[in-house]
Amino acid sequence: MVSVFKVLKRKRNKTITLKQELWIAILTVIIIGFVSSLLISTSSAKEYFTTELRMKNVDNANSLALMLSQMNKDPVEIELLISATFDTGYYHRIELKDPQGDTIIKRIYRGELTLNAPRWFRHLYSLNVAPGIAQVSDGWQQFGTLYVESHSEYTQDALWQSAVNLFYSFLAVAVSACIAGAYFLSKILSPLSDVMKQAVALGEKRFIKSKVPRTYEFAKLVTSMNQLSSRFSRTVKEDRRRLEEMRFKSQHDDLTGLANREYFNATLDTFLQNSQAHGALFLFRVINLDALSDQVGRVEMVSFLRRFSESLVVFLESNEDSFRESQIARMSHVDFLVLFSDVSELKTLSDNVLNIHKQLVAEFAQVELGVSHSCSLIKADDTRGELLTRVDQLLKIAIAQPGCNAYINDNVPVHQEHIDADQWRTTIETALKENQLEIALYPVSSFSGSLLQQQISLSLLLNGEKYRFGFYYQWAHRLHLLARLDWSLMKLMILEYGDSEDESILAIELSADTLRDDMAVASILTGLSAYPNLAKRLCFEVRAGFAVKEFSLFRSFCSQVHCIGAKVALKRVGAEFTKLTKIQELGLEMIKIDTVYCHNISFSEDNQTFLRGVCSLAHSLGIKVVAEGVKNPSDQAILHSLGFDGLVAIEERVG
Amino acid sequence: MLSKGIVSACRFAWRYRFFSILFFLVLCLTSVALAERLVIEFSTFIQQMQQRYGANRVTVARQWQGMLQHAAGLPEQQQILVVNDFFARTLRYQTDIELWKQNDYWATPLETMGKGLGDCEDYAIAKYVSLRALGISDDKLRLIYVKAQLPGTRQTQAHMVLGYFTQPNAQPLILDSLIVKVLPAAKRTDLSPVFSFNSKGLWANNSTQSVADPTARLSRWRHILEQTRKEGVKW
Repeated sequence: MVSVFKVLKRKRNKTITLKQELWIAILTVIIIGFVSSLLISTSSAKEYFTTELRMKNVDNANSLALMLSQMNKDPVEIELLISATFDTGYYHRIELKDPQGDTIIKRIYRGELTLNAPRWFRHLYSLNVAPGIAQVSDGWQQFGTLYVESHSEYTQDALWQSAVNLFYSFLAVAVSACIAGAYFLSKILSPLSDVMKQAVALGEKRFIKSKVPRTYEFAKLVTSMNQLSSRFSRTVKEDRRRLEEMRFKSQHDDLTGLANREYFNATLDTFLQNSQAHGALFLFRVINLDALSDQVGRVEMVSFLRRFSESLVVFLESNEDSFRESQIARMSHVDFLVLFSDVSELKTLSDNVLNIHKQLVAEFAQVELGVSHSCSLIKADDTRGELLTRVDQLLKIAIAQPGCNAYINDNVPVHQEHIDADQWRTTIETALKENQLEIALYPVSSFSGSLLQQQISLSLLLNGEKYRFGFYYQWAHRLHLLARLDWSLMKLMILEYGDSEDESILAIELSADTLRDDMAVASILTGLSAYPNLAKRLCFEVRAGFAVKEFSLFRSFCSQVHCIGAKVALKRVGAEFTKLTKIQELGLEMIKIDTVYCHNISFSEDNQTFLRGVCSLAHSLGIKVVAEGVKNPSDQAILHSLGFDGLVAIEERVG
Repeated sequence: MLSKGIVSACRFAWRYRFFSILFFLVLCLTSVALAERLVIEFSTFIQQMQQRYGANRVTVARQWQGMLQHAAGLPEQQQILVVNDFFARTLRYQTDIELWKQNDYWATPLETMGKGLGDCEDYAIAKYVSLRALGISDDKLRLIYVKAQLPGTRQTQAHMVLGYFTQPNAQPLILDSLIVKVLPAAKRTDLSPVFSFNSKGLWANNSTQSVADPTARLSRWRHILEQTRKEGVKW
């Protein structure tokens, strides 16, 4: 009983498309036209037949009566005349009554007629034709009254035949009207789907433009929506430019455009927080820079510094394949740092950069310039202070001699890493094979305490121990196991939440490996489309770095995700945010700002300004902004005042 | 004593009841009579007369109304004479070609009385309508086409008269436009009957309220009946 009620309710709530409504209207008009023209034609035909029959009755009665009046009133003669008329004509009854009302002669048709008209039709359209009545006189005297009735069954048959013909011809007209209707409807409504697509996109916070159709109303609508979209994209563009300027200023050195000390420290902190941090740090120092300024001129010095920083960028770019993350910074007037992730072979790198610098220094031969550097591999348990001290110590050894020198510390044994890698591969694969997996939830809550979403990640269970995502992420990434882990998490999630009635949003991260694989994305989305309730709750998270690097891929991913009703969020948003052109077309649900920007926010006025700008831009597009990995309550308070919507619960930091 | 008291008490009630029964009987009789007789709305008739023929012809219409009211109480035989007399006094004979500039025109009673002129069938129609309005049954009345021999010559002429049958199978009395007297058919040797008709069977399905039938105009007789209906005669 209850279920029936539910179904009814759902049906009532079901919306109807414009096309369906127009079809209903067209069909109603056609059916009304069809039925009414059939009924009207048939009844007017009936009217006409009745009149004709009646006229025939009256005329025949009068002419027969006239003939009888003129005749001898011999009974045989009268009977013959009436019989002759009856037998040769189409009469149902001819009757002559005397003035007292007694029948003198009566002829009535008693034969069986084979009729085509069905009984119901004859009943519905029975012809009620009055008999023709005329007076017969004998001289001055009345002789009698004559009643003449024609057959109406034949007429009814004809009426039926004409009704059938009308039915078919009107049916043909109705069908051709339907066909014409279908044609015009499709023509009229063809721009509608585009208009609707755009409207839906605007609803999903994707501010796209579309072609203006020819139909006046649609054209108005689309023009207005396009204006809205272009206004938004203009605002977004301006905001982004302003933000980029601000960010750049707050984090970069004015002279060289490299990252400044503050920013680099935050980056390095973030990098080191990762338990599996792995990479190298180079420290460069320019010797005798002030001599260049004093002896040749400040302009020369500035140009040298720019050349020098360019050389560092070239150095980074030429080795792009060997690392995932990198950062160059100017730490002080003469000190420069370069951070590499993932590298383990330092000698070659060091030699390369030393050669470049030797050439550079040679160009400024008038002054005794020198560029020395030291470098060290980063150990897992390093802190920022320890690491910086170490490279500084190394550099001191290097600059003890004049000219360009390098001092390397690659004390981390290389083979150790390979053993680790093999172990990790076995560990992760065993967990995947034996399905020793568990879902870990990290709530994302607003400042008022309400739950915005649940961030989902995969924990591995091995030997009774739980390995959190942050713990194995680096290795899984390096061993290219992330796509498999994503897939397992997706399966586990469907198993756990597939039939859940809960409506809180679940955020799940997809790795770059998965996103680059069309097949993987397709199978995830098709798998989800079987669970529309779950799909509606899902919010796919993509790292901002990937979104910027593979923008077109990301954009198509966004539209695919929107198709199944799920949402998209950006994670680890930082400097890349300003590089995301057309962010207004993506329909993002949320952006999660990277710790680098939020960490120690209370001490950085510039970062505050930048983040306030990010928040207002995102909010103007209907995107929520939350901060990742902020522990400090005073930082949290400032983020709240900057316009952040909430915080991600603390998890172990991953690379 | 007691019975006398009751009688006196009942007297008032009885008188009251007597009147109510009388009233009911009158109502029944009139409705029966009304069902038989043709009803004429004199207000419509007079109004149309005023419009088409002027105020002075209204007098004729009022005279006609007065004559019909006066004759209503008389026996049929006298009604025939009164009606015949009325039209003999009121109308003058004139041929259609002179009056209507047409060869053969059938005029309604309103037109005939409005002009004060008419030919044979106009007389017959006006008398037929009047007698039907007095309640004489259709069975007793016939409009008869006759061949009339002109007095003193051997020349014949097409003519129409109204016949009244005291009994359905008896000889009729003839109401003629040519002579003032109402004579039995046997005395009218100058006339020989050809064909007779009345309004019987003209109204399809006994529905006198039928909407204007387009075929009515095709028949002269039906046309007259339709016209008179517009002029206030409720067929």
